[in-house]
Amino acid sequence: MSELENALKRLRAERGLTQAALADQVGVSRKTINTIENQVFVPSTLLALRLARTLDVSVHEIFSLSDADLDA
Amino acid sequence: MISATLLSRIRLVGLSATGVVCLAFGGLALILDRPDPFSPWIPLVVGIAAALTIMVAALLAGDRNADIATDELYFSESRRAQILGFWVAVGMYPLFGLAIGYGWITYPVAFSAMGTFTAAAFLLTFSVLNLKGSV
Repeated sequence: MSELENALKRLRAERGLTQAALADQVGVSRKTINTIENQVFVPSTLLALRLARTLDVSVHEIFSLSDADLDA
Repeated sequence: MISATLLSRIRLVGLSATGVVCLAFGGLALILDRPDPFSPWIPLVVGIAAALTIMVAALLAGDRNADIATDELYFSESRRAQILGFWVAVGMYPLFGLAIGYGWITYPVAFSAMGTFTAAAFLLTFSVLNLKGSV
């Protein structure tokens, strides 16, 4: 099973955004941002792209596969 | 103006209240061995009241807040609850079939309990999933 890691929490904090503020900019609930950051929920490609656009980074900078998956 | 968070909470309360009433109805039907442990209108009225409350709250919240309250996490949780509700409904057929076959319960009681348990499985699973993600 693939393990998806993400740097959303760090990238959001670097921009001084709260979960609620980021959620508002992306158009989702704060809970959605929270569950993505805690790796409970894997977002769709569309939401990943919207997050990347809002944070002004590429999707790869937010989401990546764990080392174990890369070795496989 | 109702926020997306408040709308989500109203939905959670409405659906979980309906789920609890359905679970209580089915459970009491089995325990008391009667198809109408309390008025069958109560689950219906609670369900309709919950649906109307959620619809009015969504209208008052506006399109954007309603969209946020029904984002992809909501659909993901709803889908997982539907899957469990489906398997609970399917699984009840052999279980209740055995119970009827052995004469432990009657057809009317089984009909009553299976119907309300099916609804409760979806409603309460959705409520639990919704609460879990709120931390």
